[in-house]
Amino acid sequence: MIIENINLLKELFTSILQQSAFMFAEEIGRESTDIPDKYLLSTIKFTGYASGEISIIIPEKAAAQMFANMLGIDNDADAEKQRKDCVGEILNVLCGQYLTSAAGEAPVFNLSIPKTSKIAASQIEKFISGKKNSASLFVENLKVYITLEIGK
Amino acid sequence: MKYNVLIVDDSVVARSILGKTVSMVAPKANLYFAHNGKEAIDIVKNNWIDIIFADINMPVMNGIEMIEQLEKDGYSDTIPIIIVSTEGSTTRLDELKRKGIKGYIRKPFTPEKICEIFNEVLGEPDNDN
Repeated sequence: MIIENINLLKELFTSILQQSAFMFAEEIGRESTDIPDKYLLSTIKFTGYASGEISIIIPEKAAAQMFANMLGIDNDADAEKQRKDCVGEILNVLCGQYLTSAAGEAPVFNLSIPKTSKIAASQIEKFISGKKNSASLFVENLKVYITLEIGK
Repeated sequence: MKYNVLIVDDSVVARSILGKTVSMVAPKANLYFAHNGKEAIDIVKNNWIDIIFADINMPVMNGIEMIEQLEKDGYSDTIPIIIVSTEGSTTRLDELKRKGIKGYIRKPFTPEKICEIFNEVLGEPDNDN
């Protein structure tokens, strides 16, 4: 049996972000007045014991900071490919951790390669409304969204 | 002894982090990088490699396929393979152990874990002049 629990996903995301990128995710935050219009959407699918998908939607600004923090380098505004890769890798770790927590250590899952693309702020609501479970967190006062679907 | 270390992961972030961590453990190590199992096999065929750190989930040729190919090509007895992955399945880990891996590290990892496995598998690296 696999648990479908968005709160568990949120907890794990918070922990991974802190451990890997030295960034803090909060439930309640004061959203930045400089609302981003550019976001990255990363999705990973899994099959095997159960199937489903997990997505992260994150402002490009936050992704850039994440990348810089993880590698201990200056924030390179032009490194789009690296930002996408970074978000994909965080999602990869998140998915692995979630599946073990939700289904136990015995079941085997096959994870897809995360697919990361740009998404406009205006499209986020539509994307999230199509998902079974979704939540948002504030990372450095920027809103980040996560979604979870099992049995897709 | 200076070691030649091959890091195999499709993520540039993962390769960089692991590379930096290995450099902390063994500053004189020569690092090789591959995006997938196929590139890794090409590097192994053309260079002396002392240890491989590899992800499982990669395009073109994944970690498990790479291990199987290295065994077919006769390298599995001479090059220890450490899997570095997000997966946590004990069933998968047992499968990998049967295929001959020498260690398994779950992401996200600490530098201490890399150090521990490195020393366990290869012995303390030569960091002296």
